Amino acid sequence: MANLLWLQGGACSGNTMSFLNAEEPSACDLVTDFGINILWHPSLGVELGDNLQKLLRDCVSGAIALDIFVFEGTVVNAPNGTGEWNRFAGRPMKQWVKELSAAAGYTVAIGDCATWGGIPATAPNPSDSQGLQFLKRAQGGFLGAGYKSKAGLPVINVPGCPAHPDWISQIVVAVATGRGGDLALDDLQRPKTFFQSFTQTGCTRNMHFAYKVSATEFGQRKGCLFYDLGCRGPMTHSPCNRILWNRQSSKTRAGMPCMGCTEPEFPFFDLAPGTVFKTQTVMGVPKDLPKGVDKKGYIALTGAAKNAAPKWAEEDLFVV
Amino acid sequence: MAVQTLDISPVGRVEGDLDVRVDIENGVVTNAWTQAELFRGFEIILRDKDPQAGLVVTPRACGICGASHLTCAAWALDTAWQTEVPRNAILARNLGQLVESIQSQPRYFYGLYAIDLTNKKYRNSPFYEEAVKRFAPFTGSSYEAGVTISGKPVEIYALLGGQWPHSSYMVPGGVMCAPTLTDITRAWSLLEYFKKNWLESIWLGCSLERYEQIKTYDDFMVWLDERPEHANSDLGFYWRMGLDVGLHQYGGGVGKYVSWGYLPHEDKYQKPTIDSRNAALIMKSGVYDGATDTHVLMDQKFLRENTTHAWYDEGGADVHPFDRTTRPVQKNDIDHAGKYSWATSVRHTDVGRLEAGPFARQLIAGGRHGESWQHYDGLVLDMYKKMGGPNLHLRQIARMHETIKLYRQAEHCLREFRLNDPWYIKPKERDGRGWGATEAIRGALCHWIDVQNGKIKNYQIIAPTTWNVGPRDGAQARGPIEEALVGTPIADTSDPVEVGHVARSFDSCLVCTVHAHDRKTGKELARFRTA
Amino acid sequence: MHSDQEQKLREKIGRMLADGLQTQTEPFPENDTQFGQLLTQLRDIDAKDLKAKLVLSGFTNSPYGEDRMRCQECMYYLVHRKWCDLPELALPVEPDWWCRLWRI
Repeated sequence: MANLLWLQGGACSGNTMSFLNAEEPSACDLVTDFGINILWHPSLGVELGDNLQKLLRDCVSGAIALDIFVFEGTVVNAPNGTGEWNRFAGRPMKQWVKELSAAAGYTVAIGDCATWGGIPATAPNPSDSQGLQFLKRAQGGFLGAGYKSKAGLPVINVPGCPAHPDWISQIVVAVATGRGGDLALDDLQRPKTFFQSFTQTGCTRNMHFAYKVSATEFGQRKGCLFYDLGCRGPMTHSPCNRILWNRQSSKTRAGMPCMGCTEPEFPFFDLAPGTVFKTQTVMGVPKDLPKGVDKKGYIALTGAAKNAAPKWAEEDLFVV
Repeated sequence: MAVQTLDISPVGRVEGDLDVRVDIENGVVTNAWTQAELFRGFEIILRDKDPQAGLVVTPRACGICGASHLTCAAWALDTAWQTEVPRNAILARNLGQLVESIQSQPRYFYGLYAIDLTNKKYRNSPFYEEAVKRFAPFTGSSYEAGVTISGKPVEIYALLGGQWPHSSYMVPGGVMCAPTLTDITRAWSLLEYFKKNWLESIWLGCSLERYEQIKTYDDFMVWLDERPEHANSDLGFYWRMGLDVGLHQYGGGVGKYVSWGYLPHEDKYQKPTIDSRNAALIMKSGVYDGATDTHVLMDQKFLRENTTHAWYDEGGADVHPFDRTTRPVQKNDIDHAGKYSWATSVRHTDVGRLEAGPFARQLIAGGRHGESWQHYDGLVLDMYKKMGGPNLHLRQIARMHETIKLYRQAEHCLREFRLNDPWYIKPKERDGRGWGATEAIRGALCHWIDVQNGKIKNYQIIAPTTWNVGPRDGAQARGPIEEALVGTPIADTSDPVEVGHVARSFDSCLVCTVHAHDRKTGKELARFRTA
Repeated sequence: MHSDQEQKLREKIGRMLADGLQTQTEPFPENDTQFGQLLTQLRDIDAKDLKAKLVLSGFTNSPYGEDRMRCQECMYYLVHRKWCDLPELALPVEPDWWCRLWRI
């Protein structure tokens, strides 16, 4: 039995929607099979008004044990640090977040907004938003770099826009089954079990990446999306092609370039003119190269790949 | 009898943070105010950005209606860039929009709405025990089945766009994907699974074909009594319990309705323009006025906004979204006689405040306006008349009735794809103004875009919840939800579940009722709102 | 296009370049924005106007510059078909040719 409270700050509810797509375990399985007691959730909770305010105060005071505090969305600080632009249950949400995270066994940031600030924190960050313990790549965020929950862990960052339901539910199950201590986090506080590998790991277009065949426009039946269409799969840490989305596919498989949404810089280049769905280049060479590859190596690799490329790689692969 | 004032913060299960104040006299709501309490400020983020930034940002304005935002964002750019959109791409966009809406039906009905039927207020109803068995959160038989199966339709979205929510696979000139035969057959199988395991077996208790024979209120009654499977299906059960606990006796609203229409026909909108949209839609646009029983087409040029009671300092005049000089109030104190919400009030120049949503769509589907080939369905309008006008029970029935039609339209898309034809025609990027609209499951949604010098000059959104949750307008007229709350009986002021019923019957979504301004100067930079 | 047609066109382009067709090899697009602007200009050219295409994209019939850039290593070059797969060009080429839409 573990009590879980899920609140939303500057959020679109996308992580909630993603979470509700889960199977094995489904959201209901978490409750019925794993004994997760969902104290309240903005889309699922039964209480309203004063009754909810009392429940929140009991969590803060410890009258109700807050084992897992899940936060979705940014911490809104505007205007002028007051947080009045995001009021919840009678006062600024940021005040609830401060008090609840101090009382929580584990604090989990779900999605880019809660981890790094996400889309709302994109320049010029009009709502003065922060993630729980980061703002973009800078550690600190709303709770400060020194924050640790009662279990002794910093905020567990589960990024993604949205986070995949399995990334959410598996972390919750790990905590609920007493395996919170096994969680190994990377230097951005992401669980390594999900975020060590790359988005490209398992992509169906890997052969086209290897043989340097580009999808030059959308709607094609062959080609890698990295070269022309701005795909960030080779530079992004996520298991999107290992743990498929909605059990079926992934953006890169379906023909949509990875936008790097599990990394703190998302949306990259602040969506400046000319940066959306276009590979950024310098003198004909991609500005961002696959992780760990330098320009010299990249050029050498291209020469070798072109020499080795088989004929089939030039023809449609994902045919009707 | 003294007036008792009740502040409910938050209402909950309305997607985002909605606060409501009601005045209660003799156990009945006599006045109401709805307050949107979240501000994120997306438009300032979009301003001066890549013209396609809306394809990335706006689906993330609302994780619930992301496909609808993406649809609007793509069509808005299509009209601005004067693109050609291939037939397959129109179908692929429509299918994405449809499966998102189908997903929302069980998820909303069980997850957000029907939970309230297990409230202790109804413990004396003969239906109560069964309602708890079916609708109790997480453990109810239908709740668990419905919430779990709601993930299935959007698996089709993942086949097209890689994931739901938050794909950006619709782009000006078409779509990013080029599905294969196995994608199409998989999608068919997913639809069939959904139909077999929930829509027919749990929701209807009959085949789609039998349900589709229902054309009038009387037909519905015949269907209800025809077999126990019908009466005991979740639809039949909800219908009977709703009447027993009196859901048909309140929650009516303004009695006037709006829809932008949706689903452009694959052969009729390949050269999209703002003005040719109405005649290209499978589901026609419209405004229905219940008082005069008249239908007319809707057009974006009729839209006006007023900020008298919203946190903006722009005077009291009604303006078209393109003409606003949005100047937000820096300090968002609540003043129920003055300003009390981030949402503006939206109105039609001639008809006034309008309710948006699936109920509106079904009442408009019952009109004979529009093109002769466009979809017509008179059932809900007939029920509306037979029941003596709007109420929250019928709002639910209308919403769920649409599921069957959404399902059929999804089948249509799968049948009509020509897999070897193009999915994308690369457009030429250019400056210009565009407008894209659709019907999100919860109602009328549209985007305006103004591209100048290769970047976004202005991006604006009017979302269904802006229509519904908006505060009083310049003439002090209440917004649709405020109006719908008046007359609501409140049995227990410590647990005002009835307010929740009414607010949730609109499936309000506050997560993207957002306006933007510079936090430092308070100067208007731009504006952006959704849902 | 059949491969024999492609070969004929390839030879024709080769002759045009050998005969001294002056093309705009400079400036080389420094970034993808400039690259995109070139593509836009290419799209404005009549699809049948081969000469204008070659001129604008700066075709040469030998490797170019200090780094000896050539089609063979270019992103858009299909080795077996000897073809430029950039939709705005879509032309038969030789591995030792080059143009300023070169990308790697």
